[in-house]
Amino acid sequence: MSAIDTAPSGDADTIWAYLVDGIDHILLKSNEGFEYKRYMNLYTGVYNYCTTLRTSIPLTFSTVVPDMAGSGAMLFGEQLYKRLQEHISIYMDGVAASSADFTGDALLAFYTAEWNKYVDSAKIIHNIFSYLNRHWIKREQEEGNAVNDVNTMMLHLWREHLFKKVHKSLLESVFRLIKHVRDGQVADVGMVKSVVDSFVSLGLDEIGTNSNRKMEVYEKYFQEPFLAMSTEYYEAESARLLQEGTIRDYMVKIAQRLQEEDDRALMYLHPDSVVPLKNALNAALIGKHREELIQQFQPMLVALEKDDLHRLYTLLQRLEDSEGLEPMRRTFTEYVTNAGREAIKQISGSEDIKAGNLAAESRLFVESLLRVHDLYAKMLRESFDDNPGFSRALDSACKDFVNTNGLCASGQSRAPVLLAHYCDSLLKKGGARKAGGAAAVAASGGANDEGDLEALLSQAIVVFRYIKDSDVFQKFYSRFLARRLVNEQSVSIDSEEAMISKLKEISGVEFTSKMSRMFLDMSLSGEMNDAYSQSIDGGFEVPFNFNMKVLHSVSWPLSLPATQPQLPSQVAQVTDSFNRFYQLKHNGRKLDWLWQHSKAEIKMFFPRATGPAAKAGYTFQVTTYQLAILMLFNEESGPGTGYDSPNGPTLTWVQIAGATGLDDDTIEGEMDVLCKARVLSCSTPKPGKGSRFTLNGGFKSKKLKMNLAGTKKPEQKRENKETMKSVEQDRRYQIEAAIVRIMKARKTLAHRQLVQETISQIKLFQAQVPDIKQAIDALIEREYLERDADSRDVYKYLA
Amino acid sequence: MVKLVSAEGAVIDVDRDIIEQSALIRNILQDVGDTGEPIPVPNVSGPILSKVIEYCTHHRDEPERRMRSDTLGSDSDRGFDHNFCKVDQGTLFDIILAANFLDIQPLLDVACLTVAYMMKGKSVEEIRSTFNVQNDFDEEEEAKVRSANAWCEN
Repeated sequence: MSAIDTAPSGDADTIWAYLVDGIDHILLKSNEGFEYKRYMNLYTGVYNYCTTLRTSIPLTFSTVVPDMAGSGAMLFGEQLYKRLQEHISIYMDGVAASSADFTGDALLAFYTAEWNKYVDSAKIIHNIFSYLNRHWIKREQEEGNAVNDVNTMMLHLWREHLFKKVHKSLLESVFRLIKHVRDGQVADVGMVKSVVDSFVSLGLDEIGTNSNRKMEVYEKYFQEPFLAMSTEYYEAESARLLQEGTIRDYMVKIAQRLQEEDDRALMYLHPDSVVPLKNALNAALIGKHREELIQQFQPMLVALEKDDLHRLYTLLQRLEDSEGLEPMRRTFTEYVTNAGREAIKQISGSEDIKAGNLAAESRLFVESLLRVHDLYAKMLRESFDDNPGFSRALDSACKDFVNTNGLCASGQSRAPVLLAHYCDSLLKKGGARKAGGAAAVAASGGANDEGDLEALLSQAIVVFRYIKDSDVFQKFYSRFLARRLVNEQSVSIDSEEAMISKLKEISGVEFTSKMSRMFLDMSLSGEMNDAYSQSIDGGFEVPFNFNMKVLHSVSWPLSLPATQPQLPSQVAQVTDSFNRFYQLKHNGRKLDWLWQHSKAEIKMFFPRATGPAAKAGYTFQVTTYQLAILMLFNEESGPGTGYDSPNGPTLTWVQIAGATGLDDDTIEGEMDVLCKARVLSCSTPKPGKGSRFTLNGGFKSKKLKMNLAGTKKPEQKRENKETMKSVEQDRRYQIEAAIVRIMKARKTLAHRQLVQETISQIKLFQAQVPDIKQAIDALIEREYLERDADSRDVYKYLA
Repeated sequence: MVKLVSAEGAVIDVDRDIIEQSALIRNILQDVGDTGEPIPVPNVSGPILSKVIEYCTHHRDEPERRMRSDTLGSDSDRGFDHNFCKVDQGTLFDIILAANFLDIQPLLDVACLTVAYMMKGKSVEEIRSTFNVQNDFDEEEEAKVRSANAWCEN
C-alpha cells in the first residue's frame, strides 16, 4: 500500500517501477477502476521523472519551468518515452500470442474485446503521460522528429504487432458476419462496428493523425473489399429475385433491401462509406436493370398505379439523373401530351361542337384540359414527391397539348379564344353555368355560389398559365368583359375584379391595365349620372330615366356604330343636354354615342288590348334602333293625318329608312325581330325592301314585359374574325416597337441578331420570323432604319 | 462540486466547470469518473490553489479563451490578468509551477508573460539581481556565452 500511497520520486528506476505497476493495472485490470490518489500519483510520477531527475538537487525555479529546462530533462523525457514504448510492445506481443489461439468468429470476438479495452487504456495512459506529451514530445515534433504522442504511439504498436498479423482473417470473419445479417440471421453487428472503428483509428501517419491520408488504411483494407463483396452479393441476389418473381415484386423487394442497408450502414459503417456503399448497391440492384425498370413506367402510367409509380420513382432517383429520372421524365412528358390530345379528340366528335356551339365547345375544351392536368398534377404530388423536374415536365406537356390539339390547329391561336369564351360564360349572367346543363352543374357540385365561381375561375387560370398566345386571350377577354359591363351582365363585379387581379399576378400590370381602366370608367360613370341628374341645364328636365356610361375609347374594344339613326326628338333632347353638360365639365373632349350598345325601355298600348294590358300596356326592352323605328308608328293616323289606318300608320321600307336614317342591314335585322315578336305586322312573309309595315293592334302576350333587345344573336364569327384582325395589327405594332427599342439602344445590328433579340423581347406571343422581316421593311420605308451601305445584312438606326 | 486537497491537506470545494479549466482535473474526472471522493493535488499549496481557483472562477465562461501575447493591456479582462499577476516573486513562481502542473495553459501564459516583462530591457546583471540568480559561470565561460549571443545585445 505504501508504494501506492505517495507519489514516486527519487531515481529513475524507482519511479519507472511505480509507473509500470500502474500501466499494467490500466491495461489488464481496467475494469477494477482507479482511485484519484493513484491516478494523481502516476501523473506526478511522470512529472517528477521529467522535471526532477537531472540532479538530485532540490526543486528550484530554474530547473522546473519547462521551457527553461536543460538538456538533462530532455534526456530523461526520451528515456521515459522509450521505456513506455518498450513496455507496451511487450504487452502487445502477449496479445498477439494469445490471438494465435483463435480463428474465425472466435478471433473476431477476441479482437473486438481486446480492441475496445485497449482503446480505453490508451486514452488513460495518454492522459497520465500528458506531461510528457506537452513538453518532450511536443518539442520533438516541433523540431520535426518522428515522435508520436502516447495515444498514437500505442495505436501504432497495435497495428504493427496485432493488426497486420490478423487483419485478413479478421476481415473474412467480418464479411461472413455481414453476409449472415444480410441473409436475415441474427448476428452481433456491434463487433463489425468495433472492427470498423479499429480500421479507422489505425489509419495513422508516421507522425500525428491530422492528415488526409488518415482514411487510407480503412479504405484500402476495409472499404474496397467490402464494396466488392457487397456488389457481388447483391448482383447474385438481384439475379435470383428476378428469376423468382415479376419485376414488380423485384421492385418491392429491393426497395426493402436498400432501406435495410441504409439503416445498417448507420449502425456499423464509418460515415465516409455510406455514400460509396449506396452507389455500389444502386449500381448492382437498380443500374444493372434500369432498362427493364424504365420499361415498366408506361404501363404503370396507363393503369395509374400510384404506389408502384412512387416506388419506381424512388428507385430511379437513386441513379444519376441521366440514367434514371431523365428518361422517365421524357416518357412522362410524351405520355401526358398524348393523354391531353386524346382527351380533346374524344370531345371533338360531340354534337354541340359539330353544331358550332361555341359556349359548349369552350366548356368541354377547358374541362377536358383540366381533367388531364389535374390527374397528372395529382400524380406529381402522390408519386413523384413534387419533384421539380417532373413538375417542369408536366408543364411542358400541358403547354404542348393545350395549344395544339384536335380543336386547336398549330399556329391558329384557337386555345386562347376558347378559354376566353369559357371565362365569359362563367362570368356572364345566364352563362354556361346555367346553360351548360347537367354536366356543368355536376362538375361544380350543383351549387352556384361565389366560392364555387371562384374555384372555377382559379381553374381557368390554371389553363391560362399554359396558353402560348396570351395576347389573343387578352383581346378576346377584354372584348367579352366590355360586353358584360356595357350590358350589365356580369354575375358579380367582385368576381370580375378578382379574375383581373389573378391575370395581373401572372402577366403583369400592363397586361390588364386597359381592363382595370374599364372598371374605373364604370364607377366614374355612376358618379357622372348622379352629377348630371342634379345639374340644371337651362331648366331642361329629363322626361324619362336616363343612364349613360362614358367610356375611354382607348381602353374599350368598342367601335363606332355602322349607322347613325335619326333619334326620336325626346331622346335627342336629352343627349344634346348631356353633351352640353359634359362639355362644361371636360372641355375639348368628344363624345361619340354608341347606339348599337344602347337600350331603352318603352311602354306600348295596343288599341285592341284586353285585360291588364289594356290598362297597363306592355313594357318592351328595345334597342335604340328599334326605338327609332317604333316611334314612327306613334304618329297620329286616320283621316287628315296622311295615314289611312286607325291602328296608326302603315309605313314602307323606304319611308322607314328615310325617317330613321338607318342602313338597310340594320333595318332588316331589327324588323326581323319586331315582326317575329308580332309587334309589327309585315305585308310579306319576310321583311324586305318591298314590305309595308303596320302596328299589330291585336298584339297579345301572356307576359306584360318583354325583352326585344337581347334576342338578336351577336355575330360571333364576324366578331371573332375582327378581333383576330386587331390582334394581328397589335402584334405588328409590338414587333415594330420592339425593333425600334432594340435599334435605338444598339444603333447598328446584324439581321440575325436583331431577329433573335426581337423574339426574346416579346413575351406575350411567339413572334414569327416573316412578320419580323416585314416589320423591318416597313421601318426602312418609314426611315427609322437603313441598310448598311457596305453590308446588306446590317441595319442602322436613323435618329 | 469537486473537492480538492492541497499539499498540506486542506480541502477546497470548487464547481466542476471552473476547475475543469485544468486539463489534469478534467482528465481525472473523465478517466476515473466523478466518484465524489476528494482529489489530492499534492504539488500545490492551499494558498496557491485558492489563487488558481480565483483565476479560473473569473474566466469560467470563456472556455475557448486564448491568451494573446501582444499585451496585458487595457480592457477589463486583461486588466484582471494584469492585476492578478501583481504579486511577490515567490507567489508568481509558485503560480507558474501550479499552472504547469495542473495544465492550465492561459494562466501559464499570463504568468510567464509577466516574468518576461520583468526581464525586458534589463542587462544580464540586472536580471541576475532581480531574480536572485547566482552567476555560476567562470570568466572564460561567460565571455563565450556573451560572444555567442552578441546578436541579441543592444
